[in-house]
Amino acid sequence: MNKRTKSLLGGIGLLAVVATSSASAADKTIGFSMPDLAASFWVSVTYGVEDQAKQAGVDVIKVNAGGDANASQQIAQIQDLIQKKVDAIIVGATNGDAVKAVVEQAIAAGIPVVGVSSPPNTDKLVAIVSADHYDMGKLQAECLAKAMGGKGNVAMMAGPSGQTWSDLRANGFRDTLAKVAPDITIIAESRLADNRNAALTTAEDWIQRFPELSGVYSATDDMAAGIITALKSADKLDAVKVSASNLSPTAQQLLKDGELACTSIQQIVAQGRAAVDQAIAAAEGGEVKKEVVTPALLVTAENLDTVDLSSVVAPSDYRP
Amino acid sequence: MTGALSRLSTSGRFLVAPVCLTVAILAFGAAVPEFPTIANAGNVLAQMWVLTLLAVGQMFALLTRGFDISVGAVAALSSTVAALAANHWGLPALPLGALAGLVCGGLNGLMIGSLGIQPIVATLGMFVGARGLALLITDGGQVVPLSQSGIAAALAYNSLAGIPPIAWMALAVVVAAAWVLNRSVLGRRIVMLGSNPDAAWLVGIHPWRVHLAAYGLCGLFAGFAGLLITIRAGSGLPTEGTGMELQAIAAAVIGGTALTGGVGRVSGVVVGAAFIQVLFTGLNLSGISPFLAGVAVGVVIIGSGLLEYALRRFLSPLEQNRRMA
Amino acid sequence: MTMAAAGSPSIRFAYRPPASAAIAFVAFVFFAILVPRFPTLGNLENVIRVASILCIAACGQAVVLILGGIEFSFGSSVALASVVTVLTLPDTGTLGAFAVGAGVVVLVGAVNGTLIARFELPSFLVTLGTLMIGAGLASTIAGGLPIDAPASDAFSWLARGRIAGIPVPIALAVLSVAVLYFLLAHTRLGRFWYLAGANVNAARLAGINVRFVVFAGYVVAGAFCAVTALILTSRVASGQPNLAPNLPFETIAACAIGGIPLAGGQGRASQVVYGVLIIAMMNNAVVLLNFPVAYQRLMIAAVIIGSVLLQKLAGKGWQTGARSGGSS
Repeated sequence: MNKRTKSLLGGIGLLAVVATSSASAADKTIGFSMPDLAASFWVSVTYGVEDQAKQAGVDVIKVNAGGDANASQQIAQIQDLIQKKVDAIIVGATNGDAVKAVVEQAIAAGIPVVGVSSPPNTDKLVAIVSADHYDMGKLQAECLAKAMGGKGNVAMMAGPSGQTWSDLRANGFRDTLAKVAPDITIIAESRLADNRNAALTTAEDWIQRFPELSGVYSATDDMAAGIITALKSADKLDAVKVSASNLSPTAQQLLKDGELACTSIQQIVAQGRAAVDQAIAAAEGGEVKKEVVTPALLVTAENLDTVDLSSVVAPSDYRP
Repeated sequence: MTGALSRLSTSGRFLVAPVCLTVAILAFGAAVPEFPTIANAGNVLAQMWVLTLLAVGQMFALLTRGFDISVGAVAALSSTVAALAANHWGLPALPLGALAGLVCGGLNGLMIGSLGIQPIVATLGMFVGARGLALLITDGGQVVPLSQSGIAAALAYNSLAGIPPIAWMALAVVVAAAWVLNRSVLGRRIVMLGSNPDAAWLVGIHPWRVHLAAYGLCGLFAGFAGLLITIRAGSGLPTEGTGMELQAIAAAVIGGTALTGGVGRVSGVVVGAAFIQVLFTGLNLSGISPFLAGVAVGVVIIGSGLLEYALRRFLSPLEQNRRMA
Repeated sequence: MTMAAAGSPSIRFAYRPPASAAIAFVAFVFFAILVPRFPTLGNLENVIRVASILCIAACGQAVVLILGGIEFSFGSSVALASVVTVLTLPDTGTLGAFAVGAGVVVLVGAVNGTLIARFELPSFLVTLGTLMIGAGLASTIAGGLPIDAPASDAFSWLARGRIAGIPVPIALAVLSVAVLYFLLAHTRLGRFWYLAGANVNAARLAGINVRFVVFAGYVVAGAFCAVTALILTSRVASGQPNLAPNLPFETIAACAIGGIPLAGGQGRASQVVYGVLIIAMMNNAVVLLNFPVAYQRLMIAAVIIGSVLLQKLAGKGWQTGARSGGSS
């Protein structure tokens, strides 16, 4: 409990410091607008951003829209960052089209904008550090098809609908599955379950409804944990294979225990770092790489040890 | 003496929002350097209108002793309909989105007034249904980009005497709401129904008509909020709006609207919404951890309630007929 | 049902089930016929298990609703409890950790109760405030990510274990409903809850210590919610800052669909049960029917409105004491 109390007190202390001091002495400030800090994906990106900024001696102001769908909130937050006259803004968009106008306002005000993972949909960005969600779905399809032996019935726990990251992953999965395993049928899809408990309940219902179920696609590893718990209680873990995306400590443990077939990941910490590098370069007028692309990776129990976790996931004691 | 005191004490509830707003402005002004600037004032004045429109609409529902938790979803549906209409028929077709909001609100009013369903259940059904409809017409929740996004961006971000054109339009709509509440027969009937339903019925007012109008107005304002969202985002957003309903009710209540019905002022609601916007903006500018910002908002909401308690005690030593809940 | 129905002798001999009982029955038959694999033993056990978890929290919400208030903080206090439980697990063992987690939820209830009873603040604002504070604290302590608990049978017993063959959540739900019924129908505190909810000034004038009654109501609600928090934590075997964000809406909807008005002063334990069953059956049916995603929400909306509408149409004279057309 001590560490957590310490970090909580530290947070309050930081608040006190910020409240009582004027603008801090570092010469550059970068704004970072993200959609949902409650998702392990963005926690890892934030770690990359903050750590890289700390090493470069630059301040970061984080604003969190509080949900993948909260575009209005993000628009207001980016306006606040413009108000704060930050030297550069990194944006992970709730929705690329929705924030286009306000991002162009920022650029017009002289603030360079870097897009990370889900970039704003404008060609005026100074750099894009991309994550390929479609690819993540594709890798899941290839792995799951192999684990299922090329035939069977799959259900998709695809996350909230209308969000770019979940839609792209789902599309990547569906398209690839049709190509590599035409004998596998997708028999169910849920877009309503978005946390572990809800995924657990939906999986329990699916187990009852579809005794022939042999594979499950999950958009995140947290949902996969819920699905696996349900399968374990119903003694179906051998019969049903589960694939996921993201590599939090939960997923690492699931892979080690052999309960998760595989998970597809992005090197999101590395992307956070790259975004900060490009943002600093843009703020200082230096040379900027317009596009930084990091490929998606598939992680299984076999290659887990070879994955450089430091570029993929935040350390377990990191507190944003 | 007691008459003047009790008049002051009733208006004590309308002092909460201005006091909170002032304290917030002073506190953030001292703590965050970028806060007390003219530019930031313009910034807040530009951002506050989505919440204000939702809160003003919510006020109409609260006045009748009800509330509407579907406003977020209705705003999203309106936003989507507006974008689809504008892409199909050109930008002047945007207000059709507000019409969608009016229809949803009217349905709420019919369920509550004519069918006698509790507001929580009726608006919960609308909350789920409106969201489902928005997802349905957009192929699973895909955003609907406006084809004439340049004009939308100009409306949303250009400055017309300090604040954007859409802010002025929103202000005009809010002023119209104040007119409806204070100077029209409908407004008087809404207040009467909320403060004493039996008397209203005895006087010959048809409760179902008033409910229909009150919730219709609530939905209409949610529709206006949806229009505002569409213009600011340059797209229709079918998945937007979660959590906005609670913020809207909080803004209205902090602005002096009674949860028990019958008491409320548009000006109070506007100040309440401004206060919440100042709170959000100040927290964003201060750069504290987003999680701690959530804690701060919760503390402030409770604090505003305690302020109302203090004002009530200070201004009215007389016992008041207050529901304790 | 009016207060008279709660304890008056003449009604005790003529037990009248609430209108929602009929709706629950109709819904069950409807789903059993139309939804594939709905009426299987395995599925029904799942439904009742999920319903049980909701039911315990809904019992707490019912107490608050009877008082004329509303409880939003359930959504984050369960999350806070799960995070705290998993974090104290290494130091205090399973039982101790669960006790700490439960304590957190009861504490939140006590805080709510104090602010609402002592300062007469509107419950809407107070519980909304504690909802946001709880969510922020849970996320801060956990760092925004779930913390897994080490897998152990003891930890998952609350969610997966059985007592005399009955799954633990179901047994606890039965116990909770019994406790709620007893409190409401056979104790003075319960009677005072009805009075304070119906007319707080009359209650005060009658000499009731309204402050204590209201405070006790929120603490009891917290106690019910604490049980739900522990079962949920055990179910997901982790500390989740985002454990059950919809819990307040689901419990309020369950109570309202069961027939408890938000205006206060009325409510029975059986109404909670039937409301919870309707909601759990509906959620289950939506998944089993496997409609395209866009239609699932529309179906949920239809069931919510439909079940209440049916109650109104079929049982105009069924529920006594429903006045003024339901505007609350």
